[in-house]
Amino acid sequence: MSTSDVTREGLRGVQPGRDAMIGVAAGRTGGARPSRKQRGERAMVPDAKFTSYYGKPIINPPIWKAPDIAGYFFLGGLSGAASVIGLGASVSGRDALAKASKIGAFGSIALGLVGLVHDLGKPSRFLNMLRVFKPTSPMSVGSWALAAYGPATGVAALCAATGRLPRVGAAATGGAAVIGPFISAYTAALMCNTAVPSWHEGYREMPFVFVGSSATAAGGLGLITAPISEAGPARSAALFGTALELAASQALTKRLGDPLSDPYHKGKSGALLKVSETLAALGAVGSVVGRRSRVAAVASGTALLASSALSRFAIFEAGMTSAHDPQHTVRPQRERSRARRHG
Amino acid sequence: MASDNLLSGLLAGDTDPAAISGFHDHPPRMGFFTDTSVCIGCKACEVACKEWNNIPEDGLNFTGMSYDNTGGLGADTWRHVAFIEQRKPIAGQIAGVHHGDVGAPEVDEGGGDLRWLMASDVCKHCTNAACLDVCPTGSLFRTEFGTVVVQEDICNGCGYCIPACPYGVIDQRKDDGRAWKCTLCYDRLGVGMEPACAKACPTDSIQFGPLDELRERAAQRLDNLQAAGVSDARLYGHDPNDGVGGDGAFFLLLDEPEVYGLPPDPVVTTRDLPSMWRHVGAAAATLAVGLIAAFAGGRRS
Amino acid sequence: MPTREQVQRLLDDGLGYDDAARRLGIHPGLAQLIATGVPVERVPAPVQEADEGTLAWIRERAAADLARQTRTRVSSSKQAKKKPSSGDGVIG
Repeated sequence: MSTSDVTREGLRGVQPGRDAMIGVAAGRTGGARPSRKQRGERAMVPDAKFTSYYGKPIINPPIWKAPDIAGYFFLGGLSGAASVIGLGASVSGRDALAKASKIGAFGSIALGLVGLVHDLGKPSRFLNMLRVFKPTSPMSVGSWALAAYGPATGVAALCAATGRLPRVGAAATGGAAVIGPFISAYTAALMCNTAVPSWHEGYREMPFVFVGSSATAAGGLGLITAPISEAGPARSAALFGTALELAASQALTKRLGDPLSDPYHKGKSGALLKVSETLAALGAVGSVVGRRSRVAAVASGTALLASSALSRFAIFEAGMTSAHDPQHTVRPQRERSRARRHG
Repeated sequence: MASDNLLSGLLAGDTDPAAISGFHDHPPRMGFFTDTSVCIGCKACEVACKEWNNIPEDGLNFTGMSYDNTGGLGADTWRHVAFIEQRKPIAGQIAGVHHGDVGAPEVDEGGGDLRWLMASDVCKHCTNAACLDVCPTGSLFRTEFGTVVVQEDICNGCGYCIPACPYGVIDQRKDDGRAWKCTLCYDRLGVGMEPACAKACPTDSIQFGPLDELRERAAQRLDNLQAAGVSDARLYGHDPNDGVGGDGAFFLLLDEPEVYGLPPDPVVTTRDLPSMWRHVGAAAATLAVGLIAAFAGGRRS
Repeated sequence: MPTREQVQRLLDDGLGYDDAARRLGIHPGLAQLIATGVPVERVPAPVQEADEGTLAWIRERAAADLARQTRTRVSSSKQAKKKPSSGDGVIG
């Protein structure tokens, strides 16, 4: 019950208890003999030790469900890169690759959007995403980008599948290819723009991990769907993506250091990442070694798609681990605060 | 870059977040000063908050965490009292745990030192609020009092605010799907009343008022405590130069923040967003170039 | 949304909170909160002063308790010296 009064003349009617003194100034000696060690001014908690509140996490982990959101990262990334391949294939006369990439780009983004709406706490209100445009929210910017990108892929796919309205199709293909790279990359900012330490601290490298994975996936899709004569650029895309993702991942975990890089090496997320990298290597090698075999192309392409998907699930899981561990939040912040204090 | 300025303007809450959010004229910024040195752990604040806001029951648990059976802040707990038992005194205080001189058995563990920290945690209503920044529907907004409130008729439960909060405050109500958190009793403020928790607190541990007055009062209280030898006392969330621009609800603590489950050096995640966008742009460009280059070999082979 | 200065100006002009609030389009209680920084339901309560009668009673009672404790300790140690422990199996 606050019964005191803050007036222009100062505090009035303050209950004495609010300014209750504690410790020595309270004059309480307890009537007992003093403890054997006279402690006097008690030191603060020693810096070296890590403490937490009963080991509970400090931040809240994301409520997103992996199949919906990690799934969307994979599908959106695949779609964005496939749109670019679709444009390149159209321009260079690789019609089968073009058609497969455009249909693939539309199919994957449509499926991804289903996952996004399904993940909402109130899916019926999904259109509220377009109430405002906020540059401070990658989810807002992404929603608007999707609102333009989705229909573009749909039109491009429809025209490619039916062969009708080629000029409309070309415009849609071009539009999708322009927005596509952003679709593949922005989800990294979405993910890293949280307090999850293993994600946030990796925000510089994560967009490159994501686009690398996207190129890998789109290349894999091309290898599966295109005839050998047209599969060359898909192979190149896959090799490019694999190399980029690997390099960016190494840089990311190196920067994160201890303990933030732990989930990328250990536990369930570490294991998933390892499998993903193995599949990428197998797919990349297989696509080169077996470049005259359709069977090898399909197998390699499948491995590459799986690698990309697993990579997203692994990174998602790594973030969940990081969010649950109070050490991930406390230790780097404590070190940063100490460094600042000591100049 | 023009977008950088736009972004920095949007991110720079300064100490007048209501003005930044578009209120040309507005009342003084209101907030909480929670002085945990006089908290008695009665949990009247938890009860009053749940009663006033009609918050559903969220678990009748026995956690074994001293007297804290609430666990932490969440969608259905907007005031949370933490209890920490420690084997160290407050300044030179003698805890009086020894009773040897009246014939009772000697208890000698820990040298008889004991202190019990109790603190009522709440949404910090940050100057630079990550939850507010990342909300894509505009559900979360800044009020004329400088507080941060969720509009439940707009929230679609996307969940972005939840991992964005550096303090782990806002959360999703599971059966409902939307995000919920402390409103600083926005409805009560609108008629000039104080929030339910401040009204219920019997020791004035929770103090409500204009933020600048609270900060002055807190500085004075800190001086008094430290002069009395309580060197552990420190303010938390009071500094407009910290990583979130200072909090609308700040605290006086008697130990390191992490002891209470608070982050030692919280930073609003969107502070790094301009750089994130630049890296996204670079990565998108890299993807485009890399994929176009894949076709550099010429027409179909 | 009214600033403190806007509310104060109307109050200085002699308006009460009700009229000022009506002018500004807000609740009168909010006008008071804005002007004073104090919520409307705070009632200035008289500060409890110490009561001499109560303090005297406490002093007497504490002294009496201490005296009783001392008597108990002395008599129980006398008991311990007089009688062997009751656990030696002697009945009656």
